[in-house]
Amino acid sequence: MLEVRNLYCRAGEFSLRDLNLDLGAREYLVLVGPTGSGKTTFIKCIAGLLRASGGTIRLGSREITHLDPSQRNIALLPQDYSLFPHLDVRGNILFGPLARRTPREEAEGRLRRLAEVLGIRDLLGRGTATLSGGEAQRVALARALIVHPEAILLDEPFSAVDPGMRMRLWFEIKEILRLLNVTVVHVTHNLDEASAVGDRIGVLIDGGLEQLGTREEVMLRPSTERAARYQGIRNIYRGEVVRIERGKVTVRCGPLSIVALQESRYRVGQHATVCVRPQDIKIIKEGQPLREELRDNQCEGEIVSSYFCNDFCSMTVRSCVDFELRFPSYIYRRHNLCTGKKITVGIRQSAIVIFPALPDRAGGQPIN
Amino acid sequence: MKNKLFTLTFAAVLGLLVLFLVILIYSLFAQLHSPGALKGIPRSEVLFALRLTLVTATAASLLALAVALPTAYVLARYRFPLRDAVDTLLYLPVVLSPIALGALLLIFFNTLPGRLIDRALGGVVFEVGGIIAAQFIVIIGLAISLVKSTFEGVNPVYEGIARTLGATRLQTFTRVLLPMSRNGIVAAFLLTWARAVGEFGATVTLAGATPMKTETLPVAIFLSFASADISRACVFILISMGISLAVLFILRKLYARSAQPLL
Repeated sequence: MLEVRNLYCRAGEFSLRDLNLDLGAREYLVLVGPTGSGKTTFIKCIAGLLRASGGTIRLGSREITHLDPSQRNIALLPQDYSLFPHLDVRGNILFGPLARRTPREEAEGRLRRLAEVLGIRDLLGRGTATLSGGEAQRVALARALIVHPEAILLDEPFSAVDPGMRMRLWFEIKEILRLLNVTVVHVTHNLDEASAVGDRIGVLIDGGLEQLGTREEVMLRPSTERAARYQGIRNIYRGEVVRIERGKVTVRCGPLSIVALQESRYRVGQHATVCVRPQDIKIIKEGQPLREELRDNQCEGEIVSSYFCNDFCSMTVRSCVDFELRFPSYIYRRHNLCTGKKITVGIRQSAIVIFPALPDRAGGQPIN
Repeated sequence: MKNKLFTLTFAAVLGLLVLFLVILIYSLFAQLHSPGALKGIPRSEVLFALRLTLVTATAASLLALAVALPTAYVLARYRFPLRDAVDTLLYLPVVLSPIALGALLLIFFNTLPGRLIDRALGGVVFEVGGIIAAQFIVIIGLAISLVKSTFEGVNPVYEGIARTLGATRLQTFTRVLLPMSRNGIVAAFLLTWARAVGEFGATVTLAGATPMKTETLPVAIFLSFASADISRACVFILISMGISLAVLFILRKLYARSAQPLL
């Protein structure tokens, strides 16, 4: 459906480089990345608002790389919705059909159907300045969808919505877009949002696509150190493969040895980076049977800090290296995990991710 | 104590300036109130100067706006080689003395292409057409600058959205950018119009100062002083001041409705 090959696009000093991705019909792809990673540049390049300096973009059977934005049939929902302030809601939604000289009756028919689906029938006569964030979003969505685009690009679509309402809208908007059979590219820096709505997720960093995969692949098994760091994972250790036997690989990272399942070919002496999500480091309770997957990677340490977020606790345990743990807040209270307490932690073996270290980053030191 | 002194000093400067302007206006009214001041001023002369000024200023401002809209759009939305040089050149009429501009026009109309244009337009030099040409050259830089600032104040995302919805560049310009710039464009028109109404230097150089022919309000003031007719000059000054205040009043109203400052 949407095929991007070796895309290069320059925006000022910044440029997208060698970007490749395929998007199936009616697929919902979310591109995540930190601020300045090129998400909006990518969206603008696909929409035709920025000129691609290399590569190709195909939409269905058409090559659209150098087509004018008005000829691409790709709609865009910008970050702040950018509703035309000189037009009311009806005028905004009908802008596209009128520009394309769609017969008035047909345009009105489309408007009625979309207003019904999006629940904005009562807003049609209102000025855009009177709309709430959620209402403006729906109006902007109606304006984009009324021209029957082959794909829609959503640029941080929930950033102008109140946090309390955001989560409900994630699912509502996804459901509406699924109902209307639209292919979607959605960019955001919010990982929860990406997890909630994306059929597939791409991680864009410094203008390059770092990882592209299903929600589980990207969230549970980052494929590069940069993708892992973007997810906020601090348990990243660089080291060297010291042993390979019986389907397990041992990586020595300074004072820490980690035994992981062998998922691809490694050789002894190879530099490697080990990554463990904080959710996958478990507290081992004394006197309780030890889970098999924790057996190979146990460390004793001392709790040095704890931070509480809404529904989870983030804790740092100092052992031969520092480990970051994350668990539901009630665990903290149940086991009285105060600062200074000595505990034993174990790493879930199946959750350990190893990726080859970059040549310039090879070394035997833990880096968290 | 130091803060109070600072505030008092600055407020005193403001107060003195306002007082000075009030005294200026008062002296105008005092002159007009002197016995027999308004006697012997032909109404037809006043109406002629007023009508000529309004007609020529309106024509020159409309022409300037028609040229400024596409020019400002290109400067505000495109990057091209020598853009800064072009921008600077277009701003030249704003800073160059009006007499110099008028002289440049006069020299141009003495060249072969200038004479052809002069003939094609039915006479420009020392004619009413010359007033419009002089006012146009004086205000065009200001018009472009004001419209360009207005266009730059509109987020290009709106135009991008319109393009993705299927609008052509012309549709985007007429249905998105122009309506969104409406207040700024009206303000630009009013400011350039007010500037054209007060234009003297270039007008007198190109169109001359012929009574009842090329006698705009500023020219009438000049001719009145030249013939030592102070009261007649005061009438024209009063009319000019009324026009200026009306323009400023409308601009203030527009400013109140606009999110962005127009002045």
